[in-house]
Amino acid sequence: MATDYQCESERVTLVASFLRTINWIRHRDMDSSRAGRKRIYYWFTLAALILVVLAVNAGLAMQTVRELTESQRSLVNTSDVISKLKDLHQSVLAAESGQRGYLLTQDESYLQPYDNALSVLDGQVEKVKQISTEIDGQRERIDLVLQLIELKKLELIETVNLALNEKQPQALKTLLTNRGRNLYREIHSLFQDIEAAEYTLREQRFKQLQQAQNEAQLVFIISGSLSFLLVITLLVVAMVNIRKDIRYRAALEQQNIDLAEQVAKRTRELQLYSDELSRSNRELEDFAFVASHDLQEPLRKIQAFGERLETQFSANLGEKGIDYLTRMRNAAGRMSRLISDLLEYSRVSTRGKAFEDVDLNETLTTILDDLEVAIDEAGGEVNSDTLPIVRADGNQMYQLLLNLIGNSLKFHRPDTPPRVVLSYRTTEGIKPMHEVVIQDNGIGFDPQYAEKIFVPFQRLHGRDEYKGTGIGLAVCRRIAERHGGHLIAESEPGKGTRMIIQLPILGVTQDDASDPDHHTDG
Amino acid sequence: MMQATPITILMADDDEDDRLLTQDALKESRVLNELRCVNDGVELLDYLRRQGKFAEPGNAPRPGLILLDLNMPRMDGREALQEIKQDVQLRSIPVVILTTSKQEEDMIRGYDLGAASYITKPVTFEGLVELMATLGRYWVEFVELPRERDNTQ
Repeated sequence: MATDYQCESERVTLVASFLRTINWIRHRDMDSSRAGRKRIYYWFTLAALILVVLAVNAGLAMQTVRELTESQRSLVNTSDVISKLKDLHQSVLAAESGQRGYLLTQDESYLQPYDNALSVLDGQVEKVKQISTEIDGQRERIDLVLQLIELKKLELIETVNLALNEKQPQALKTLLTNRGRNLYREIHSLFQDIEAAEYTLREQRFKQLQQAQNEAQLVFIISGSLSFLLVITLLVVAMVNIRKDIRYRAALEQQNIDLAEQVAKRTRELQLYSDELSRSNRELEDFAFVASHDLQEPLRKIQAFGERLETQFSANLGEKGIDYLTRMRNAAGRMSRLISDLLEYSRVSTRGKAFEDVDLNETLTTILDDLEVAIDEAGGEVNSDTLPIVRADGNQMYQLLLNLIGNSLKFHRPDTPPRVVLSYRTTEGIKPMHEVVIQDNGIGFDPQYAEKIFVPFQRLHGRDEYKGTGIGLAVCRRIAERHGGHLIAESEPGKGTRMIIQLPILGVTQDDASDPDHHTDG
Repeated sequence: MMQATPITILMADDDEDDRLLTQDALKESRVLNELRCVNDGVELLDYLRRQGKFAEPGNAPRPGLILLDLNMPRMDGREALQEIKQDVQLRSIPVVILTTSKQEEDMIRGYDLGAASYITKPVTFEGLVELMATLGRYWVEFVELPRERDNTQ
């Protein structure tokens, strides 16, 4: 039927559109995964940049601290050197003053500072020996000054001892030779040189410290600025990302909306199509009604007036006339049956009842009761396995089994009483099915007609041999298909026929063609 | 119980063939009552109320039985039946629906509106003859009906 092809083409269009949608989603995902990889590189680069900046900052800071420490240490050392030298210088000076004072005045009170100075001198010399200095030549100068101080010490001790041994004039003489004085001058000058060098160094170190401090300030300013920039950058990046994310989400939402719209559109289209189908079904039904009623009406007249003609004017018609008349009435009767059968065929879907649980065993019992006379007349026998309970239209199950068993009884071999066996099993697979097989021992048919027998009004035998319009099997197949199942015929001539009914175990949702509100007669 | 004058049967049907066949069938079944015919519901009511072309006295004897087809032009059988059963003057006349419609709702509606019987037109002429014989025996020979009420109004 045209509507079936329409239905098929619509299904194809629908499938194509879903494939398009899926493709679109896949492309979109591929795009987003590419973007994801890009994002990973992006974050990786950013993290590396942050690490580099931190490392450089840390390096600079450490360098600065090291410089500062070094300068500090050097400065402390210089001060230490200067202070020790000053102490030593002081002691030498004090010892000399004491010596001079005593020698000139013979006042022994001068010996007090002299003794004090001498007593600490050795210790101070020892300290000065141990000091380290960074200045080139300073060590040699210190060593020289220490030698001179040793000499000075000897000179001091010598003169004072002379004086103490009452050799005042000699002592004074010694004093006045200026040997001691020159020695001291030499020492003094050396001290000045050494101190000057240390002061210079100290100044230098101070400057360095100052510079290091300035540099440190600069470094901290730079690294602070860099960190600040980094934080700003991170904030910006984060904001950009959040914004991007929001945009992405919005896009995704939009896509969802689009998808939903598409689905809604398809649903609307499907609804339109479904309405159209219902409408065309109704039209078909109306047509069937017109066919049954209005086409039957003139046929009824042809039959009635034919009858009148035959009863009232048979004498005038003659034998041939009556024969023609009989043929005419037979043809009219057949046409009437054809119209009724066509109506029955179309009603399988247009006037079907709601599906319910149907016990096929009960259906079979009813059928066997109804066929009792026919079975007895043919001397036939019908046996059956226990049949299943199926989700179906009870009337149509009755019609289906009745037609098939009726056919088995009807098409029996002239010399053999019909034996009909119903067997039941379930098939396995994706869509498990109830399978009822009706096997008979009748005349069978050539396998090449296995499909043709299901076409409405197709007959394999002349009307004289077997009665019927040829609608029965077409109706049976239509019933099976309405229930989501199949009807298959297998046979070989003379070997009986196997009619295989398959009905889905899980049942099917009912087509909306079987509207319970529609009237059910004609 | 036979009546003094044989009752008239009134048939409302737009199908001339059916009218002819019914006439023949009545004859065949030896029901000799007069059969009068109208084309549709409007004519039927005109006849019953003696209006329009049925205004002349004696032109429209009150029928003792109405055979009513359902599908007719202008006013169909359902409307006509409703009118008749709402009319005090007319509602005692038995109406037998004789139609090709097998629709159950037509049948239910017909009885609801007060039809005496609902009969589907027989397919064969023989069937029609049999029906007319039965109708004749039942409605003409056995059933007693009241006389026409106040005819002068």
